[in-house]
Amino acid sequence: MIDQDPSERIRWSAVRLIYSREMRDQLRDRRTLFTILILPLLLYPLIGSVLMQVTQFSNQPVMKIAVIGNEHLQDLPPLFEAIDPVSGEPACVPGGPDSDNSQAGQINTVVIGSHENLPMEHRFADSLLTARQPMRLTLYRASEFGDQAKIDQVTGRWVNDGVYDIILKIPENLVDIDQHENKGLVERGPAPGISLVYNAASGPSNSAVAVVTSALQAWKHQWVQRSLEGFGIGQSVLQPFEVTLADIAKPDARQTMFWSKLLPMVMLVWAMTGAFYPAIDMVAGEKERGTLETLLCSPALRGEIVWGKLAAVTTFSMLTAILNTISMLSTGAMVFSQIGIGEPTTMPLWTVVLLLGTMFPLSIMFSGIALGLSAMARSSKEGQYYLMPMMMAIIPFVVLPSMPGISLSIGTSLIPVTGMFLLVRSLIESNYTSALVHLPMVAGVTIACVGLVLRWTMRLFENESVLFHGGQPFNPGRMLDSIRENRQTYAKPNQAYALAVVILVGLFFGRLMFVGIPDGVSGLAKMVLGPQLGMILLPSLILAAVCTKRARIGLRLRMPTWNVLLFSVVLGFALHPAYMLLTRWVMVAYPISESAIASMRPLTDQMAATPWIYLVLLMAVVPAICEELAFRGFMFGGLLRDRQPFRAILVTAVLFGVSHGVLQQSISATVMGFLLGWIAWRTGSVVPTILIHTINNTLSVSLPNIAEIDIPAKSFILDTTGDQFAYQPMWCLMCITFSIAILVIFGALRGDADEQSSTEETDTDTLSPGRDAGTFTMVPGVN
Amino acid sequence: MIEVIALTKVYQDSNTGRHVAVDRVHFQVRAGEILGLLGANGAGKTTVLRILATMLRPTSGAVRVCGFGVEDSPAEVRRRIGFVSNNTAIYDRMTAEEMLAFFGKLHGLNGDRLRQRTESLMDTLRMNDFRKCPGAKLSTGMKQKVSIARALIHDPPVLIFDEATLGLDVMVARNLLQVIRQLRDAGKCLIFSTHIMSEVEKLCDRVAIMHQGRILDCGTLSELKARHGNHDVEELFFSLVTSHDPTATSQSVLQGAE
Repeated sequence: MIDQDPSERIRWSAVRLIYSREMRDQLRDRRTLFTILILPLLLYPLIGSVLMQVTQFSNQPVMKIAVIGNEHLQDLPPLFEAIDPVSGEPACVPGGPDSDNSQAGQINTVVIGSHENLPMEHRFADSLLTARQPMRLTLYRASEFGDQAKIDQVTGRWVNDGVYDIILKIPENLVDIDQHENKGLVERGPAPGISLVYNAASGPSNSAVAVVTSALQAWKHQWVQRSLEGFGIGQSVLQPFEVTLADIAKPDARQTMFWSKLLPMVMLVWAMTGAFYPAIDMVAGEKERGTLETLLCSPALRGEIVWGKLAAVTTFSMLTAILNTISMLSTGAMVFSQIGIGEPTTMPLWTVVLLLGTMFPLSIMFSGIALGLSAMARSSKEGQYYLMPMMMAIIPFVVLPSMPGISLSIGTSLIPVTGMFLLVRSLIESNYTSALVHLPMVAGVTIACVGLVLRWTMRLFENESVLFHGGQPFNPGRMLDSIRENRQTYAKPNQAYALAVVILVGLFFGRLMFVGIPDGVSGLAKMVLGPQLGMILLPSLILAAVCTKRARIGLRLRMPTWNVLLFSVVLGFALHPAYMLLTRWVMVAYPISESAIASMRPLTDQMAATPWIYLVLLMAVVPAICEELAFRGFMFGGLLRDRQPFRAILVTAVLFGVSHGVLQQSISATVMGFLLGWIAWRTGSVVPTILIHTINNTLSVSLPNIAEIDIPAKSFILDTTGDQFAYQPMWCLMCITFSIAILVIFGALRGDADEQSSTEETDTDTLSPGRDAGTFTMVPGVN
Repeated sequence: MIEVIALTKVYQDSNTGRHVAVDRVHFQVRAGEILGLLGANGAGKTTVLRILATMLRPTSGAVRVCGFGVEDSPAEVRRRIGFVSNNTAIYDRMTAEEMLAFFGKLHGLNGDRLRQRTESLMDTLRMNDFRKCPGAKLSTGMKQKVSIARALIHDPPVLIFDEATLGLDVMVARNLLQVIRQLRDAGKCLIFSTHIMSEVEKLCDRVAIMHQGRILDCGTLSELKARHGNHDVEELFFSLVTSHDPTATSQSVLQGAE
């Protein structure tokens, strides 16, 4: 609708009217009230009380520890102490832990005294543990097991079966130096080892390792100290200094830091949920109930309806986020202080204000997205299905700021949502300069995103097929028929994008399937042909056959004139030095890590061992044909409209780059993609780009071979002195000049020959040179 | 008042392809006149009326309501029409009173004028008993009354009723026809679309018979009867449709069976 009339201008009174109606409507809905007001008030206290109940049950698991070789601990500083089973206090044990009261190899020391018949329990000596933890210690003598192999076998089984969480194996050669006078100082060989048998795959076993290791460390420390004291060396030798940490951050700054990382995530998820349900009810729900049409035939403009509903959805989004946060913070603080983890924390007011300020534009954005999705849904049930994908798409941007190592920079400030939160964190950390420097970018990106979302929503509301589609059930067979009935010379843009998605997803899984180092030529062939033929060529051919009138034309597979073919071949050779320079620059700007090079080495070796002709076929011919038919063929045709090549060139170049997977390759491929796209547009065919692509790749894989051939002018072309083959600078310059000349010639071609001939195409159209594209007609004013 | 010239509407649907819903339709409606738009389901009646109400845009052709083009000044057009269809429901969580106030305010009515319009509609449509009931609790007949009151709140010169009697019981339908006649007598310009022949006979000054997006013939009932030599409206309709498209009857039977 064109806003030309004053009556078509948005009246804010009408927006306010619609807003207040929507608010009242939602507040009268029990479901909305429940999710927005009641749920946060009930949910967190409920979770909190359940948590408190559960912790009472589960916080005291008893650690099961076995010691083998208890007899070797004699005459050493005490590692264990016996405790009185009745009083729970350390007991005096006559005869030490190794008194002869064992039964079946297990030593259960019996206290001679008051509780004669009760077996004595043991624990680590009190001074060795920082915190008392419930544990059951069982002491064995090594001699009960026989040889070492038997011990290893039994301990392995016990830990594996969970009989014990950890087993300490005490060796027999533990010697207290102190008792052997000064001899020990020089005579000792490698220190004997106490081995701990545990199971890293078991939780209790892992925590037992931590406890036992720290106890042994403390034991060692005491032992060393005692020995040194025996030699007359005091404590000061062992501890020449102590490290103390001085944290200058105020306690509330630390808390702010913690909350500034956690709260944005929580608030955003709630803001999304809070926006989503009212949005679904306000558009998809109204469509279902038939009230949307009532509103659309009233004098309210579409813009007024969108603004009114958007304001209502944003209100609910903010309310949900704020209420949930308050409820979570207060319940959390209470529960934690009850359980005894940390003290109740408060959030500084100024952080809260900042967070809310950040939330507001994001909340508008989510509300816009939710409204748009809701407009696309035919029913509220269909609308509900969109929540999960929306969350999945947005969550990465929310989680990214809290990842370690991510801070505000030019790169991150350009990422929507993420940049916003990093900016807030900078402010909280009093990093004002950084925040101020990046503010324009963050604000620009956020405003652009909000603007784009609003425009999209507005367009959906003016799209009658979105608002009034008849609710036909999805029928794949009928859809296929309709595609076949409506096919034209070229694909439609959405079909071009569909191919892109199929290829990118296919390649992702293809790469997962063909990992590892190929084995011989056949392995290499499998690695290349699988993705190329299966994931790129096959979908392109199928889509071309289904969606276009004639697959060959749909793939832009036309024969250009012989002149164009000849120039393409020459251009293929002439462009290669420039391409090599480009890849070199990319490598300098974004170097590949050493480990990546090392992991690629077997592949490069394999390629070096492959016969040249196979290499050319696998690395040059096949990829050139497959990729060109997909990107410069089907997709290009689908995206090229109304003599406007910009979209087709840009989109295919970027997709071509992304399809290469490795960042360094992607950058050079994108740049080449622009050039190939432009050539494909000027020549109206995919054949020249296939030629250029093939020759370019052939030269890349053949440089080592060319360097070996003894041709007279070789030293003029190639520089073989370095470890990598490179073109001579002079040759590069010549080639680039030559390429520019050919590109100028291509520029003079009738670029739209393709589009014009497509309308007059007949069935007699054959693959003959000079028939329909790329004729050398000089049109003044073109290019 | 209403002028429709060579109106064509083509739908593009990715699921079903290109579909011509309205094909070069011409008609005019004057003030104080009821035009009956008679046609089977899917004839294109609703599309024509939605274009009149500016909810859909015409693919080609011109539509003018009270001198305003639906494409140039849709808001002006919407200010001058009242649209009632079986697709324009009332809000479940609003009372009849609130509904009228909301739409009245959207039309720019305020204070006394709004109160006066509301009260007069409540009286004429006999809605006072349920004026404070939320929409969800009203019966079908009551809902229809609220709908009509909503369409009349701004006292529009043009009124469009699209299958408005669908699903109403005899008493309510009869009441509705009476209201429409009163509106005609008050000088309003009315379009009444239906597939029920008897309603057309009772109500309409002129009839346009629609089939597959086209108007096959248009005129007063007596004109049509004379022109096609048939005195029964139902027979007249069938003979027109069949002569236009021999397969139509069997198709409509099949469509009815679906």
